[in-house]
Amino acid sequence: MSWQWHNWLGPVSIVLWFLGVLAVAFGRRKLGVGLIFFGTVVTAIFIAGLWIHLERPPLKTMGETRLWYAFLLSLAGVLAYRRWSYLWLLIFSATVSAVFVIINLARPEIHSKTLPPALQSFYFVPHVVLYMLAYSLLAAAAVGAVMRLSSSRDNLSPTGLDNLIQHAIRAGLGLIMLGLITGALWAKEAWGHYWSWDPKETWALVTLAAYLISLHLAADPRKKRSSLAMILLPLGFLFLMITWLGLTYLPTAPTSVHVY
Amino acid sequence: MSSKARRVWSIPWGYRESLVIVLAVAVGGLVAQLLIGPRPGDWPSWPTNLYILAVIVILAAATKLSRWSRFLSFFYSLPLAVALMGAIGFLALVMGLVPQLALGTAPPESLWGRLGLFQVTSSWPFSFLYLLTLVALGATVFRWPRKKWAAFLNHLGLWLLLSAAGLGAGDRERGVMRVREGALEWRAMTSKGVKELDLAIRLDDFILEEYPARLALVDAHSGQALPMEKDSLAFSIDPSLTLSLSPSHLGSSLASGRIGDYFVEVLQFFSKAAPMGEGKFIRAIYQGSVQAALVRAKNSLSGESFEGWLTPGNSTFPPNPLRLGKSNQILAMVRPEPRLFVSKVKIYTKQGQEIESTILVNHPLRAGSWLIYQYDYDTAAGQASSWSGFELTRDPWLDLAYVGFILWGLGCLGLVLRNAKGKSS
Ligand code: HEM
Repeated sequence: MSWQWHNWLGPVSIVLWFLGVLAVAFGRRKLGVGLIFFGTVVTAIFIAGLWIHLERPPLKTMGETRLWYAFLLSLAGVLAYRRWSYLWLLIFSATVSAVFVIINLARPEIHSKTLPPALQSFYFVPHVVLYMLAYSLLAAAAVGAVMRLSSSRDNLSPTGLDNLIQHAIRAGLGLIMLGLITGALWAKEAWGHYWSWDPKETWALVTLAAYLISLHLAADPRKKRSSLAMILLPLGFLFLMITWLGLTYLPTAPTSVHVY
Repeated sequence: MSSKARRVWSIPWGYRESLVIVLAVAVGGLVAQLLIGPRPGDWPSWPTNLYILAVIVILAAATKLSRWSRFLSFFYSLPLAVALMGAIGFLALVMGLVPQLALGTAPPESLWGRLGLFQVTSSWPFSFLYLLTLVALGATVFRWPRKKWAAFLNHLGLWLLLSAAGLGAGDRERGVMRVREGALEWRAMTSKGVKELDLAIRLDDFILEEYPARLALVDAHSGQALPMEKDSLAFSIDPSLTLSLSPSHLGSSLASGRIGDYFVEVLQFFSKAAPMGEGKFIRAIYQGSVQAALVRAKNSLSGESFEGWLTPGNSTFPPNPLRLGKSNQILAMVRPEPRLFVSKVKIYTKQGQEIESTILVNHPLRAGSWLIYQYDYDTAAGQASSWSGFELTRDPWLDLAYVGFILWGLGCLGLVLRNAKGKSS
């Protein structure tokens, strides 16, 4: 399944996600979740087909990682909806997934089969997949935090939303740190040291610091309702995006070995 | 905060006190920086770093002693942890925005340069905060209740890792070595100049395998310098799927595709070839051979058709693009990307050990206390490179760092799995 297939399967996923969100909004829960899940499966099938066609994991170019992100985020949305019934989360995840597919449709990149030796490693797949999974959960946490901040602050009983946010940052942080650990072990194999203060690594640390502060603030009974802990979640997600996508535009970019 | 105003500096200390203390430590670091200059790259090294670690462990363990515990409980308080992470996160943000200079290069003479803005990791404010973090993290590890094992493993693993990474930095050694084919080498280029090592490397063979080169349309005027940029093309065909599998045979086309206004067919392809005059190529397997393809390009607007042999060239043969009539575009083969490079080596250590093995990217070789990495080769010569470059690293603290990584990773797994099962903390 070459990249050309995406011109057909991409729009199919988008339409399925869109119809699914509509169905849920009109009360047809089961149908809607089914449609969205089907859209996710279509994306998964394309990823699998591309993998076979390229004879290497499709995780190298930005376009390929966007594909994974669309898949994992829409999947996380469905799973979270089945568990907590948050419509906004479902709409958010389906919309962002669709945006990533649209970017891929508008800007097809040169998808060559070549994989440079540095990327031919056991750590390659777990490293990127862990990060993509973490991104999806932390995106959900960021949106939840914005909702929390904009809702009334007098309400002091813990809500389902608070629960969801705490779950998302613990699991998301666990995954992002596992991504960091696999990356560090890989760097030791490929470049000789597990941490070299490369701009990408430095920004990963900035991101980690933001989330760790939020987690530890929330763990303090005296600061249970800290709005700083909430503000740090969208901020942390911004740092995450800079680490992932924005590095190329920073003054420190020329010194990074991660900018392709 | 609570409605009753709490007196600042009354024990236990909270967020305000933690912030003040962390800032004071940072300012103390700045003063030290101005007085004695940056922290030398090899300080602390063995055994000083061991003494420092011992002091940290004693401080962390002392939080268990009842006589001092009321005061020392500050070290494992959440406010201090938050303030420290804020400070370190801020310094990381600075490093992420201000390009950092390699250690060993002299910073600019300006005030910012002297304060360590361009070499944050070897500045005293960073070092002091790092040490305080080790104490705080250690104290948290020592007092941790058994039940929260995911958090415990996170703290313990990170503590071991940060100790090994930070305190061990002064003991780490790194060198780069170039070895010619057939030659024996034991001197490496280090940050302190050329150094003789306690091992020698003999390079028996260097092997480079390339991906099939890609075809591209190139502007004949701006793209004069061949090989061209990877991105100077609108589209490219990747003939590898059919070409690398099937032996080339004349007649039918092996791969085809559209590049710009041209429909391009690959009629013949050799991964190892040599020119035989009149612009033709034959299969030739030897060092210094080059990729070559016979290509036909048909302009879909004018119907004009062009045919000829293409090669990306190497250090022996010049590149050979295909002229497309009078248009200012040419069809060219882009320099191929390496798929694999391997060095066959024999290692001799001072202890009399002899190791015969291969070294390739992502697969370093352990020899004595050294790890040997495939580093570079003569990229201009490509397959014909007559030497191979190795990077050598030695880190006595590496095993401790790995233990830290594993425990930390288990803690992370705990965070993920506990949440997957839906248990709240
Ligand atoms: C990998 C990074 C870290 C992770 C994942 C992590 C995780 C956690 C977790 C999950 C808790 C327990 C929250 C709760 O359920 O009550 C916690 C508490 C705490 N952490 Fe961390 N932590 C990390 C780094 C640090 C660092 C660097 C410090 C110190 C500088 C620190 C100091 C503390 C302290 C003092 C507590 C509170 C203990 C208590 O009062 O019960 N942590 N941390």
